[in-house]
Amino acid sequence: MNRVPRAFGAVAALRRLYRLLLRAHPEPVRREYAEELWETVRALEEDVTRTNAPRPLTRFWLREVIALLGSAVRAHVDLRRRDGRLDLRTRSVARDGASRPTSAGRPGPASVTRETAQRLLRDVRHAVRLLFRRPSYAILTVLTLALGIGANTAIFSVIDGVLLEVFPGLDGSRLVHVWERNLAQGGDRWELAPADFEDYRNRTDVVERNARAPLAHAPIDAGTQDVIRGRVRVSQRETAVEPTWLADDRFVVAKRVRITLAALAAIGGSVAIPAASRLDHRRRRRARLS
Amino acid sequence: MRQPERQPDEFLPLTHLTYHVLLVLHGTQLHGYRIIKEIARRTEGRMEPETGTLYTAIRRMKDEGLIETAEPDESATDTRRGHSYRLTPLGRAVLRAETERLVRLLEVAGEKRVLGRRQAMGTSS
Repeated sequence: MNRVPRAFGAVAALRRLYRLLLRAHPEPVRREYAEELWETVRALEEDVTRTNAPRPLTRFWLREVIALLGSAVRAHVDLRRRDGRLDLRTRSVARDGASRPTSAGRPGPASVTRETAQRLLRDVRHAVRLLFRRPSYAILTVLTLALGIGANTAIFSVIDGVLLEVFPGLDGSRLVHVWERNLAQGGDRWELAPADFEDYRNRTDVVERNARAPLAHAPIDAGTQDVIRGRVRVSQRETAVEPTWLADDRFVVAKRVRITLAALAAIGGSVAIPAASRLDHRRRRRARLS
Repeated sequence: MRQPERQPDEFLPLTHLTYHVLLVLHGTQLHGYRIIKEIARRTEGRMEPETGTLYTAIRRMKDEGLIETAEPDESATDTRRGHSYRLTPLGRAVLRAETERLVRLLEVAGEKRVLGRRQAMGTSS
């Protein structure tokens, strides 16, 4: 008779679980194999105990419990299949003849599906067994995956915020980049000087009063009003406006741009966003999500 | 309940575990513990089936008629309790058929020099 080694904690719990799983087997299987299984596993435990290392014993019982769980499930499935209660292939044949072999002698679709499921189950069991066999490798794999997924999430968050997400607080349909076209000197894309922009804003109705251009290269944030007024001629993506007060053949050309940080960076500009606008943006976003 | 007698070729290819069990039972009778230990010894510890896995295989192999329960061997020095198992004639035929299949595979591998110089030296000696 095997000597029962003293066990505490995880080992004792796993040992009890093993006994419970023995009882979970179908009655005919239990009657024939339960005592033999118990004798065998205790003999194997004795071998492991001789190494005087507590961790291998825990690992040993963990592996045994998992395997016995699989054994119990298989025993029930086999018993039902034998009783005709779980013969998927037979049912399928009775229903539509789907699993009959083909004329070429190959197995039918139901048989192939069953075989695929069995192969998948075998692969999963093999993978789990490998993970338990080399726990350090398993931990390393999990950490690598966690790090990889975390790093990808972080990178995407930055790309989404900087390049993809619409800049908060601004309406893209109202953002324009303003140039001057100087017909007298032949220039087609003259950057608008801040002083000129101030003139446009203060002395004409071409630019709204509350339009802002913090830098000469920056797009104009029009706030809640349209930027451009007056007679508008549309040419492709450009909106040309001809102010009436200019006598030296200068007029304003505006081009609609998408408001992203990338767009701002491309034209060398920057926009200071009022805190209130950011809050509004978040509220709108929450409302969309809900 | 035994299933109708099947031809050895119908069992092929065998799973790794089934082949090892048939192999260690060839010419002898062993109980579960010794089967596990023998498989571990022959594979140099690379394969040591758990009890649940082994007895699932044993149950199926018994149902398929590949092995059977043996009478206790009075001359055996190992007096552990539990059934001993041995091959049936069908089990021996299946073991032989699978071994022939593997040998044919090895011959193909040898022709293709899969193991290179080492295999060439092994086959020539």
